[in-house]
Amino acid sequence: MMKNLADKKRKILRKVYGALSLSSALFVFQACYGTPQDLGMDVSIQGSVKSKATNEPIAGVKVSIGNLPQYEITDNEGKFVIYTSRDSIYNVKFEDIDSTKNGTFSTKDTIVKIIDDSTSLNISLDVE
Amino acid sequence: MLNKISQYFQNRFRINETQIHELNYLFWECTQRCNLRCLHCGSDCISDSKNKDMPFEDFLNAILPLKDSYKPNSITVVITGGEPLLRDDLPQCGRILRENGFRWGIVTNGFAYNSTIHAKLLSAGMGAITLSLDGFEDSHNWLRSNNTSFKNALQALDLIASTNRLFYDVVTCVNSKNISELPDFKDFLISKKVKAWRLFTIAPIGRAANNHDLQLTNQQLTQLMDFIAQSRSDKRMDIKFSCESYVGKYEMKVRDSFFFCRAGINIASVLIDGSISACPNINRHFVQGNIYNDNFLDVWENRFEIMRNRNWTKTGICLLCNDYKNCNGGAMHLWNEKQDCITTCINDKIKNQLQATTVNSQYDSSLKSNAVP
Repeated sequence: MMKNLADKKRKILRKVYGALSLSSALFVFQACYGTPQDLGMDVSIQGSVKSKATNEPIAGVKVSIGNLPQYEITDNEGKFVIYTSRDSIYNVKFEDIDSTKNGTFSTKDTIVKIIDDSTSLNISLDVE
Repeated sequence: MLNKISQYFQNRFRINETQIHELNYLFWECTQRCNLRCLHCGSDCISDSKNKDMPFEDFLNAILPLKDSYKPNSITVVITGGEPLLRDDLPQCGRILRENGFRWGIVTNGFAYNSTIHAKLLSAGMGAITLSLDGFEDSHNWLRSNNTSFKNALQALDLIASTNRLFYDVVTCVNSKNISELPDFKDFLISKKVKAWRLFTIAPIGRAANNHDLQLTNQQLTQLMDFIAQSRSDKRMDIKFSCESYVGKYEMKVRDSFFFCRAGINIASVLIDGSISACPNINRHFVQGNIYNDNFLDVWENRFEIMRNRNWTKTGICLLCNDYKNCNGGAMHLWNEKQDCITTCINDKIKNQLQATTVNSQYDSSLKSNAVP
């Protein structure tokens, strides 16, 4: 109880001293040999890809966003997570790139609107 | 006067932060292998280190209990080395860190950075990166002891600078060979659309301990401070001196904030052998525990006294220093196991240079006034 009160007091003082020191970078610092802190400029798009015909997960599907070079491949459970720049609308593309290895499926493009830091998609692909 | 008041509240801020000691910044020395053999390396890394890379699971298991006390997204895990890009599982490590809520970034020499790894790291949620670039080609390649290191680092720079979502900066280790090219190099970085540039001096530790050519003279040091102070008015790029030392009259002129070494106060590390410390370049004498024997969170909460109470640093040249209350013994990495004197003091060098300049100008004035017409 006393420790919590002391912690609260110190956190208030932190703001007071920080403001009075007229220093703009007290709260966002950087170790002298480290990177800037990551303050979160990206969002995650995650989800799973299934076969529309069998409802089974599809592994090996390439998931990409717009024209960006980065992509992700779905795992054995058809799941993926990809991190991308914070934006309002995304064009997410699902491509079967492993030939007949996990079946043959049509490519699908989906427009996604993201409001939060993370969005989940459940995608079904047609059998070709 | 205003600066003195600001400094007073900064000192109160530092004491308060020390009491809170909230962990925001966690280094992971994931490998000691390196693809370069830089003249100034603080870690003294080699291509085939005797220490094996730490299994990622060991690191993850050590830090997962942090989630009980912290919001993990308030902690940036900074993956360093050696050269972290030599680990094939780097994107996978980062991805799992993000899945557990932690944010992460890497410190790299850029030698192995290409468009493929760039895309993989971004997909895995990398949010921050620091790239070393030590001047133009000759200077960079000399310091990095490799004839193609500049070319590779430049390729990395183009990829990084074109990615808006990254928090990044370019760091330059300033030495006697590259100091004269800094103004042109600044323009070069601006032409490359670099947003942030941080300049270091080279501490006499690790491989640089016995290489005096890497150290700046007192005159060069003040030249560097003046260059940074003047360059900061150029708003096209955020230019600053690293938080490696108290810099006396240049405080707040070369950085956005006063000097504050946060090692052990907000910064911790897990080193290659599992040692728990603060920044990886701090002398290993100051290790506080080991993840293979101790609970990391417990060590963070209950040890680190030597970094949170630095009264012991009031010794050697710090003992009678008038700036001690502002500097608090300088940066932890400048202390060795003897704990008897800081290995180098930038503030002292600046003061000596300013004093020498004053004496010289007084001498010149007296010569002029005594000159026979």
